[in-house]
Amino acid sequence: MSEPAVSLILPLPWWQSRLPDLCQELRRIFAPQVGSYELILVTDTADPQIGAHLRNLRKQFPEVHVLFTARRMGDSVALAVAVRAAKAQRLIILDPLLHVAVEDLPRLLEPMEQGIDLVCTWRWPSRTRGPSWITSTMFNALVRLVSQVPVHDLACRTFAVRRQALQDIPLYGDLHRFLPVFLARNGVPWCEVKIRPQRGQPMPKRPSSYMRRFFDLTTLAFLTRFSRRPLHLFGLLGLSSFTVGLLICLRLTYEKLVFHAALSQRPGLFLGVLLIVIGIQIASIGLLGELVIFTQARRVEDYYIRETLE
Amino acid sequence: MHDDPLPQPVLSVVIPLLNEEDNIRLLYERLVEVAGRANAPWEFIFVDDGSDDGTWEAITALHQRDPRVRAIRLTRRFGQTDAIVCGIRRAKGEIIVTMDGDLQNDPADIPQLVERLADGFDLVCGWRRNRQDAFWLRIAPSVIANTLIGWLTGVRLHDYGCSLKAYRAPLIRQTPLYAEFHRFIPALAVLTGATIVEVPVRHHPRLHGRTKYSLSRAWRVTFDMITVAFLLRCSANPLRFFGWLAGASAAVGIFFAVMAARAYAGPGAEVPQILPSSAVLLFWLAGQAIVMGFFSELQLVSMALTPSSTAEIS
Repeated sequence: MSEPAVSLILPLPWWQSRLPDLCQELRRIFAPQVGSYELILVTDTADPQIGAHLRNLRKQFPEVHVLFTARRMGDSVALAVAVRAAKAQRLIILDPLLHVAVEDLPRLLEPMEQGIDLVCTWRWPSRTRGPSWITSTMFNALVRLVSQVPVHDLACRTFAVRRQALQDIPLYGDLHRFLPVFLARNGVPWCEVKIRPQRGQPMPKRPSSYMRRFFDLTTLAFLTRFSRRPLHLFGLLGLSSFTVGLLICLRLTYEKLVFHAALSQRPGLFLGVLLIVIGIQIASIGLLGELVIFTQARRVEDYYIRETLE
Repeated sequence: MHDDPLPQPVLSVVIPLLNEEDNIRLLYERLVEVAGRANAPWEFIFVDDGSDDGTWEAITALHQRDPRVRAIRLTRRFGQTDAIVCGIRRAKGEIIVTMDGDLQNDPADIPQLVERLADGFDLVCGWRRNRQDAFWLRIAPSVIANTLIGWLTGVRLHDYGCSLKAYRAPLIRQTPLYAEFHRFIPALAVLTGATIVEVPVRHHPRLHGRTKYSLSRAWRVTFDMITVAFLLRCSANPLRFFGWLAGASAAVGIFFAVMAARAYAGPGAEVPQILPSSAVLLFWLAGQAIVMGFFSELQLVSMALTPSSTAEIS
């Protein structure tokens, strides 16, 4: 089979009844506008019923390929497997929740004609209202601040990317959640395209999703800033804690020596000692982190090359 | 583009560049002049570390004229360390010379450095004896930093910050370089068993362009310094470091515990709460430190188990 014009990749955490409709829609939209395409479904489900569903789907739509991965491998690895299996040079990674309008997807490929390697999406007009609008706006502002990449809608995980740009990126852990930001930060030429959100798609909103965002941010900060220099983070935290603790203890010692104040009932003294101990511990963990990075340092390639002249 | 095969270069000059379009041409001419006198094939590796001026165009023009010019363009600004590492990995010469692209280092000093390599040293560092920079913003911090680094790592040099250095290629490829460790190359090179010597070099004031350094890096350099000192002294036996930490905190903990015991045993009912609680905290820290020590040894074991990292050191 010849190389398709585009490979669509859809991670599938669970069976979605919309899938046959989606395939139909893709046929209607992509076949005339883009030409040949393939849809790669990657799932780690062990449910035999879902497997049967997917096999049926494949019978009906030969452009669909299904990859089953072992459950323990995690989403980033699943994505890496799908990218390796993709035949086209241009990939569109779809959000598992599918909350963008399928009609707009071909527009993601337009900037790629002009040498852009990564096209992020920005759901517009935004359908979130009220408090969740505030939190998601804040979240995205923080993402911009932390990563220094001006993306607007990190929560929308649909993006188009040239496969070459993913070549040297090790995909692990939670990295797939920030892949666009990560790539853009590494200097991949990128742009953002506004795309309509999918109508009638309910947004799952749970309290845990706020927690998740918080973890996302800390992971992002760590990955982009401190993953090669852990002591810059842990050292600063540890030193601050140590300094505050030391100041408290010095102050109380002064009171004891000069004013003969009784310290046995002062909670401040205990706090001071605690902060000193915690400071030492955090800084030691930072050094331990440095050791971990150091042992791998000879093999790390932390830069990305745009072009060479030989 | 260039048809005749070039002779295998003996010496590679690696130059990281960030927005130096006005300096490249002159730098290249001086390099060529020195190379012409050297009577051995050289190559020049320019690494463009995400410049946003005409640096890359200037390099491209040089490359078209002279096949000895090789160039690498990074996708964004990764920092001096990564730019140097990238150039070093691609260098073909047995001798590698690094220098700044701002013309403050003088290419005419290169033969002098190379001579010292021939004397049997592995790493020759430039020493800017008459530094032509602002005193309070550049020279004073650098004197403090050099003293501190020398004191912490035990590798005493006058001028860690001078980019003009010459290395034997296998040595510098073995040296672990990442993050912002270009400042500590001599100290880290000691880890791979290098012999080091310093040579005074010329230093010129900046003619074109702006300096890319600022004092805001001070706290990062401080933490890096601690890291490098830790790695130099403890990366072979980290358990010893954490063991010391554990021992020290346990000792202080025991002191507090004894004091508390004496207060309990002594006359009067009042025992200062701080004594037993501090003892508990310090014992806890000691336990944590021991665990961290074992964990660090585990990390070394995992390195020993992965192929290639130790095998390539010969």
